[in-house]
Amino acid sequence: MPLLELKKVKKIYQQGKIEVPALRGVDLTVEEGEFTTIFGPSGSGKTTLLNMIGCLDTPTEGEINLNGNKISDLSKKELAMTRRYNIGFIFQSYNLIPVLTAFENVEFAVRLIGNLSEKEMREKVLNLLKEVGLKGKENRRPGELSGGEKQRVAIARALVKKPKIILADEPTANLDSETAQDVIQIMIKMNEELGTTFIFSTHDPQVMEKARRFINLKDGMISSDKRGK
Amino acid sequence: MFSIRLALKNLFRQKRRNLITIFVIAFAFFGYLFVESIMNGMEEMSFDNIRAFETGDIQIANSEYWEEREELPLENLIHWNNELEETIRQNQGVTGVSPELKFSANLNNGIDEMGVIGVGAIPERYNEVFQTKDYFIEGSLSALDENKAVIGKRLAELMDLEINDYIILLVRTKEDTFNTIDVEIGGIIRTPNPMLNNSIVLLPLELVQQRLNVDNGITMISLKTAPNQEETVIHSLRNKIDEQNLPISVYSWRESAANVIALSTTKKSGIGSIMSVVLLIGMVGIINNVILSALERTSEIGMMKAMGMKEWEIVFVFMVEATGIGILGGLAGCLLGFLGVYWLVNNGFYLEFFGDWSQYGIPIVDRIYGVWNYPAFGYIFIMGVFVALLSSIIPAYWAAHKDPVEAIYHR
Repeated sequence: MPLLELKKVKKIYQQGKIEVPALRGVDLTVEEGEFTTIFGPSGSGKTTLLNMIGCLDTPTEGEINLNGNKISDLSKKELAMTRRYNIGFIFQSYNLIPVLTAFENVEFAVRLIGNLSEKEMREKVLNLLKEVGLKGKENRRPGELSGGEKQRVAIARALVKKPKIILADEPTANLDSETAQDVIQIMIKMNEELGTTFIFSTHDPQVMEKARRFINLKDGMISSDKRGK
Repeated sequence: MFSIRLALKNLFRQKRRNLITIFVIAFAFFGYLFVESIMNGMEEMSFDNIRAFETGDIQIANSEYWEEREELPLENLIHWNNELEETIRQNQGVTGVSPELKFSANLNNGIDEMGVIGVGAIPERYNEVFQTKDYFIEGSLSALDENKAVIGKRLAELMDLEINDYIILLVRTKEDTFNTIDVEIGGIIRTPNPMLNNSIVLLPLELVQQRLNVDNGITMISLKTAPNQEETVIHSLRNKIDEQNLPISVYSWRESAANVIALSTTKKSGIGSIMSVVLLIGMVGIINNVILSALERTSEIGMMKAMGMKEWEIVFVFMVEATGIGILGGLAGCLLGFLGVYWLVNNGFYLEFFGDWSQYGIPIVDRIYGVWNYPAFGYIFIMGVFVALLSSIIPAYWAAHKDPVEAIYHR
């Protein structure tokens, strides 16, 4: 059974009296442990597709199955619980809480799960921050970190709860090319070491080439779906 | 617990705005506690002044006279004699008995004339009940024993009178004929009770009885009781009066001071209104704060929802934050209020600075002092925190109810 399955997913936004289709019938299957990029021009529907997969939005038509659950039928509360336990998010603008330290931002995600002892939680967060190269910077607030470091905190936050899938919407868009490479390398490392499934959108060809599966989205439809080495 | 920690950290996020909200709440709380202290002080001083200078603790009068006492009639008088005095004094708890004959008169200084209230009294007995003897500027109450009069300082100033001056009181006798009382001023008083200062002329009882042609008639008997004995004395006097079938009734000072007590009831509703305004100010401050915070943290709320936080968990964070502001504002307000009330209780302020309050029926002159009302501090604090908590719910729910996609991308 695939981790993620989309069947004829459509999303139409209503702008006044005009219907604007964002997705026009997407069929997609993603297996566990895949490292997939979604690319395409602006307005092609990348963010909308990620939002659908991430249970942040519901399709107008079609069916989405995540980990065997038909998420298009879930209530708001059930969608929130699916996001809490199964999905990690990495945002373009990091979305860290500025009053919390790097440690606390990651701790926040674990606390929501609430299945670890204080000691286990602390060890887990510190190990993960070390893994993403932030050892010694645990007590810094986002304002005291560089863009790359912030995105590393966001990666650690997404990974700490061991989600089934991590969705990243243009995770390197706000970073310089060198830092972008560092961030994507961390994502690859985590994918390889932990087996976490990653789906990310990008415009950056240098970032894109690191993926192992390439989905090209055009006008709300998948125009190509290729696998690399 | 993490949500509480996050909310508390958020308190230090918009320091200036939060400080302004805390200051507004604190100032409103301070205003309430200050005004409440003054009003309670005013009430306490008013009641003390009435008991110490006007009514004593208990008054005895003919019930028909009592109904018309404001008109100062010379009908339905009590016949004052040793037997009646003994009957009253026999009651345990009675420490002073003062017979009085009140009448209306026109005071003439030879040039001007003004309406006053004459009070015929026996100095020794009068001192048993009232504290007037401690407030003489010139002369003493023994002037009455020398057939002289005692008047208030304000009245003396108004009529341009001094000690040893002669005054004429134009009165109507019981038979409604005119008569005069010519006396020398033997004492001038300045008491905390404006009525005594402005419009009372104290005279020897016998002289007044003679000039009004009322034999041994008096209008009222004022009593002083031992501390906390007022109710017991009233009860035993009423029993005795019923037993002996005397044509008189017993009244508490509260019945005499009904107007001032009515003012006190108005005070309570006034304090209630002030409390409502104070809580409304707090409410507006908190709502404004939560809405602005939610607008600023839209994408953060989106992130929280993306991480799987439920709406009520986000609402909880905002509510704890708002409650924190309410607690800090309340504590600061109580501290300010404590300092303000401490100053009021110990120093008070000059009432005359704000005009003559006696014209509004408030029997206080000079300084007005506040009183401590410790439960008010706890009450306003708890109410403030409760209102902060409640008023944050709707804006917090509005914030938490945002669509996650719109919130994340700030659409």
